[in-house]
Amino acid sequence: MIRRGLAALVVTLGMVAAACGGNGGGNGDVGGEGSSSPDGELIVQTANYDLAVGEQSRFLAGILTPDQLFVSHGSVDIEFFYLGTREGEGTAEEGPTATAEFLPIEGPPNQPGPVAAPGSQGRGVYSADVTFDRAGFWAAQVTANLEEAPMSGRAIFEVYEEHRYPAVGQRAPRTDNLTADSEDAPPEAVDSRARDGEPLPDPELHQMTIAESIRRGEPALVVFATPVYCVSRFCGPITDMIGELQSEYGDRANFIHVEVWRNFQNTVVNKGAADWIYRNDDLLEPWVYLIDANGVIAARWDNVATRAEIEPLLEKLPKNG
Amino acid sequence: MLLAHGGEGGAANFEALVLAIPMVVVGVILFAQKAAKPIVPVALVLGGFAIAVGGFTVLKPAAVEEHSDAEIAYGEMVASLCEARMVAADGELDDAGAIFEDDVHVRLHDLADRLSDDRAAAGRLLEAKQVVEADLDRLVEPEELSSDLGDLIVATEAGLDSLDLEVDGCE
Repeated sequence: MIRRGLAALVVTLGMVAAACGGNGGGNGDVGGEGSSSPDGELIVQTANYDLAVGEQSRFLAGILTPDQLFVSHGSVDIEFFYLGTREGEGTAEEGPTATAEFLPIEGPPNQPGPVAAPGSQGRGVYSADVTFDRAGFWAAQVTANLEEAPMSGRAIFEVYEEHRYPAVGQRAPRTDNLTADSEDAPPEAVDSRARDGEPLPDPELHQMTIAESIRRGEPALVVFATPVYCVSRFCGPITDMIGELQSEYGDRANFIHVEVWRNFQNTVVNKGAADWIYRNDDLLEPWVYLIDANGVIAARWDNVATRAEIEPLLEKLPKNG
Repeated sequence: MLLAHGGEGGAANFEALVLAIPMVVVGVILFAQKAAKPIVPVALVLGGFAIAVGGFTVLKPAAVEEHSDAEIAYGEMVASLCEARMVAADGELDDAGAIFEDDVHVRLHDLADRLSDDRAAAGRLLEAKQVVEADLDRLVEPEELSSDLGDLIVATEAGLDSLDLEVDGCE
């Protein structure tokens, strides 16, 4: 299986490298170069923002069929290949293998699968814990045993020497993010949904700054997201989900939503968001961070975060009330 | 908009040449060998030229407009938006939501991503999209969802215009 996958990968590496820009893997843009996969293969798009060498990482891949149906539910097999430090060059070397489970963003919980289905029947990504031992470009060869026939596809992505964004074990930036009481910012800078006179949604997520939570020695669950202006195809109701968790676990941690944009149209980023998620001209969102009572990052989720992943960590926190 | 010559017109041109060239050649040979009355080779040569010229003028294919892949894909998206608005107006909110999620949502994200050079258009598009999503979550009145889908169609068409993508609107 691995040999066959490797051979296929070597043959088509140049084609894939030409079709996939940057580290985003197989791009699924409508009508774009990546909208059709080679020979009717799956379109695989890596959904990670910040993979680094040497530690177990949550690898994420969104998968579509050539006719733009989501591959959803069940699990898929992934073979990883190291490609080298220069994109589009070098020989593929076998790396780890993994079975990736479906993480639903919207729709019903994980069911038997995988199946190719429209978004209303399950939209999400596949997730596997993987350790990458070298920095550089990697390929993920995904095989989905769909009912009709097994299908495969691949994506190319980059693993960095070190994390580019605040990572687990690091001290959390002491950020004075905007709150409902911030008088120097329009409401839509606090939450992009609060525009045109709409009331501030989820006001309980806009009561405290990250800096204040750390100063008090209290844990915090922080979501960096722009509910209105998210352009990722994996966007989901992540802020709503954090709000729901707040209603159940609000006595264990502070829950904070940091809106990304102060002014989307003029490309003005809120400083509270930039402290965390803006690096080297790259603004990537959404993110969810769990900060412990000592002000250290205890967990983080890039792009896709689900209740099933976060809730067990909240349950471990002591009640303060 | 891409312009391309269609296949049927090209075939007509080819057939005209297949007929015209031998006529001219035979005409020239007959004229050189004086094997027939002069009128025959002259007629063959003139006829051959006439057919050749006609093949590329009278039979010249009209420029066939072809839509780019993006225009086809976004055309399907706009058609689905139109259908969702119609279904919503009929009170079938679940069906409208399914159409939106299955055939519109991802492509709207792609369109917004493409509008990185026109933040105003991208912003209006994403704002209109978020209103529709909030409607679907709240299960609003059919008229409200239908109206907000109409606003989204307008914002979508403005975004497509900004990218010089030509897509048919709702019928």
